[in-house]
Parts: sequence; structure tokens; C-alpha cells
Amino acid sequence: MNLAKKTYAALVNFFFANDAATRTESLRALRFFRVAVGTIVLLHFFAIHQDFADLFGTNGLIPWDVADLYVADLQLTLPRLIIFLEGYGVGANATLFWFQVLFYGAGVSLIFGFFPRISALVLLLLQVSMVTGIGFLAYGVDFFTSMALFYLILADTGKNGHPLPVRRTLQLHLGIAYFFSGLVKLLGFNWWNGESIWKAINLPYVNRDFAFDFTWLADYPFVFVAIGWATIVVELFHPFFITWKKTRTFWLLATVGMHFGIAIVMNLYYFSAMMIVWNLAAYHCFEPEKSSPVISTADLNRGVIA
Amino acid sequence: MPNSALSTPGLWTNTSASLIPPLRPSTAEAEGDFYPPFNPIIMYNFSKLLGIGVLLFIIIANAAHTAFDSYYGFYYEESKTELVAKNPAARMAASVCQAEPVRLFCGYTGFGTGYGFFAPNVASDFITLYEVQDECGESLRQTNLPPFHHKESVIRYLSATGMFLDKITKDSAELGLQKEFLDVVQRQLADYVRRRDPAAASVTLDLYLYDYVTLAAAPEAVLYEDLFYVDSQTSTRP
Repeated sequence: MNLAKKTYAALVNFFFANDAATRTESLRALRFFRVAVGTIVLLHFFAIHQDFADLFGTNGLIPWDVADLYVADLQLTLPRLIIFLEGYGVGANATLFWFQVLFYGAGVSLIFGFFPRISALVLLLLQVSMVTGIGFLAYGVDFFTSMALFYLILADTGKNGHPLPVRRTLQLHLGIAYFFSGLVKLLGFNWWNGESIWKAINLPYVNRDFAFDFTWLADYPFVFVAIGWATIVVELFHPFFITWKKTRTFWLLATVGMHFGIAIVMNLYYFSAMMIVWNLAAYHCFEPEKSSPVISTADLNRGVIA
Repeated sequence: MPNSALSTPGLWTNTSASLIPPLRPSTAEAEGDFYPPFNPIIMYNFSKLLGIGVLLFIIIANAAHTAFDSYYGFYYEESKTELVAKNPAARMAASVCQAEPVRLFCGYTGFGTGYGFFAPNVASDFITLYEVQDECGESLRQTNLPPFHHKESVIRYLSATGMFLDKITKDSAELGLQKEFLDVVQRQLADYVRRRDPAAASVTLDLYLYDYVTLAAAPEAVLYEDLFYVDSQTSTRP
């Protein structure tokens, strides 16, 4: 019984500790998260603005009725919204236009902290309705964007807010994500011999922006073996070493470095940026710098400081 | 008697100032005589803990489900459904993820994702080749991508072409109706390119699997890239 009570008390302390330093730090972390996520969401949305209707409209690259076969009945999607509003005389173009206006509006509102939780809710609904409508066009960043917006609905980042429970959940979420990612990589033999790294950097549409030539490195396969194992180690042990204060900075740098590498080589900028923001919001120290104590000459003369 | 565990410093302090005003311990509490049985802050914190617990459970279930799925998909030729059914942990993860309320929640929040990140194996990409033809069947031009304006659109397009992997990894019995679905999608992609080009009478989309030389074979390789033809679909102007 005592153990259960102690565990519960530890859990409460972990999630709801209310000392000033923890409160300030979690508030700063979640404010950073809010601004950074809002910025990435807007940039990512703007990055397809001319193709928006062709990608996510009803009659684009993949027609909505084909994609809709894989969508749950109760799911709100942009194509369903378009079809619904067409029944009331609102044209598809008008819906797409106002959808974008609302998206940009909610994004800006989130960044500037104007009704941030409501903005996050609106943005989440828009984001989810967009990417689930033609679900085949979604990739990793979309899921992390949606989850980030969900956390921002829960997090009170206002003056009196104390979003520590959200930050703790974010930390645990990242730990689980990286652990499973590392574990599944450990199970794949191509990650042991460097082949996965070699294949990933030589996929036909990656490494286009900087076009690094990696062919000469094929003579030094140990480089790819090392990178593969380093990736496994960083991910698999992420929840342990990032929790341990002594190794936290190093592990955070290693994780951010890994995502930076993915951005540069694989050109997955938005995904990498989102993952870096998640990591920083969860584990970067947002404490205000402690000012060093002022020592007067008189104190020194009196021998206060040995 | 005071509860020693619950009297941990900070436990009784309010943690959501904006939602519930801080409660000051009564004189009796301060003296450690008793605690009220239904303190709203305890109940509030407990309900929040419960919510966090459920959320983490959903995250773990989804992570495990996709981990099992991708592992079986990579190492076994048998049907994944059968393999999952044989493994109690995989079965449990699948049943959690496929429960209707969980699916609905995940559908609206993105929590239904897995965390493979290129594991256990980096999936191969496809190269698409659109051949645009006029009414006489003469080739007007060839292109690898639909006419997008942005790089980001290409990334999304490539993500969609990943669905065609099922065409080469599953046999026709396992594919069933999905084969027809994939053919329809492929034809629709060709249709999209045809609709964007007024001169096009028909567009044929040839699908190729991209193969790059392995690291082991690279030092001796003469040819680094290769393409394996998968199939074609054509869209013709009505």
C-alpha cells in the first residue's frame, strides 16, 4: 500500500510540481513550442500554396471519391466539407479559399498567442481535415504537426499557465517514439551493415538540393556502418540518456544533429524542423540564467569568500 | 493519521492556477490531523494523470502495432494478419489501435502514427514516367512528375506512390481488390497529367521500381542505378 502511495506521490510530483523554477521553465518551453510549431505549420502550408487545390481538393491528383474509400465514416475531411457546402450553394473554390484564409489566420493567431488554445484547436481541425482527406499524400511531419497542435490545445501558455503536465507528456512521448524507432532499426539487419544509410541517401528524389557526391564513400563502408549504429544507439537509448542530467545535453545535441543531417541530405526540412522543435521544447533547459552573486570588496576583505 | 505519501511537499498545491484557484490547507490539514476525503485538487490531478496514462497507452499501442507490422512485413512472407493473430502482444496492440474510439481519437489528433522512421528497412521509391500522346498516338513529351509548382508537393506525391509497393510485395491472392484500387489510382494520376495538358489525347503512366546498387556491390559496380518495370495504366480523353 505504501509503495502504491509513494508511486502516486512521485507521479504527482513529476507531472504537477509547482515550484517557481519548474513552472517558469515549462511555461517558457511551451511558449517556444507554440511559436515554433505555429511557424512551421504556416511555412509548411505555404510551401504547397499553388498546388493546394490539386493536392487536397476534390478533383485533383487523386480524386476524393477514390481516396475516401480509406477514410473513416466520422472523419472530417476537406473534400467532404467541400461536397457538404456545395449542397448549400458554396462552390469548391470558395471553400478552398476560405479554408486557406482560416488556416493562415489560425496560424498567425497561434504564433502571437491570441486565444492560443482555440487557435490550436481550429488549426488542428483544419490540418487533420486536409491531410486525412487525401491520406496518401500525408507523411511523417503531418502526424507530428497534428500531435503538436493537440498538445497546444492542452497547454495553457498564458501568464498564469502551468503547462508542466503537457511538457512531461511530450518528454515521455518522444522517449517512446525514439525507443521504438531504435528498436525496429535494431531488428533490421540492413541497419547493422550500413546498407540502410547508403540506400536512404541514394533514393532518387533525396539529396537534390545540395547534391552531395557520396559514391566515393562506398570504398569506406565502415562510415555507413558507424552512422547506422550511431542512429540506433541515439534513438534506442534516447529515453534513458536524455533523462539523465549528465548526458542530457550531449543526447539532445546528438538527436538534433541527426535531424539536421536528415534535413540537409534528405531535404526533409519540415519534418526535421518539427522533430528538432519537439526535442528542444521537451528537453532544452529554458531556465533563466542564474545571476552570479555580487561580491563586494568589503566581503572579500572580511574573508567571507575563502 | 496523516498520509505520509500524500503529504509530499507540493502535492497539495494547485497546479492549474487558471482553472482551479489554489486551495489553502485548512488549519486541521496544516497541523497534519486529517485530509478531506474528496479534495477537488486531488481528484483533478488524478483525472489528469488518468488522461495522460490513457494517452501514453495509445501511443505505445500504436508504436508497437506498427513495429510488429513492419517487422513481419520485412522478414516474413506469410500474411501479416495471420502472424499478428499468433502473437498475443501484437494482437493486443492491434486490438487497441483498431478499437473504434481509439481510431476516432487518432483520426483527429494524428496519434495513430507509428515511429518506424525508415525501419526496419528503407523502402524503395518508384520512378513514374508519364508519356503524353496526341490523338494520332504520337508521343508529345515524357515527364517523371506531374506539373507541380513546389518541391514540397513532390515530397507528398512520392509519399503517395509508396502505396504501389503492395503491387510488388503481395501476390495477387493477397492483393485481391486492392490491385484494382491501385490500378485506379495509377490511372487517376495519368488522368491528372492529361487534364493539365490541352494537347494531350492520352497519357500513359509507366511505373518503375528504382534500384540503387548496394553498398557491398558499389566498389565494383559499373552501373549504379537500375529500373524495374512494374506496370502501366493509360488515361484517354473521353
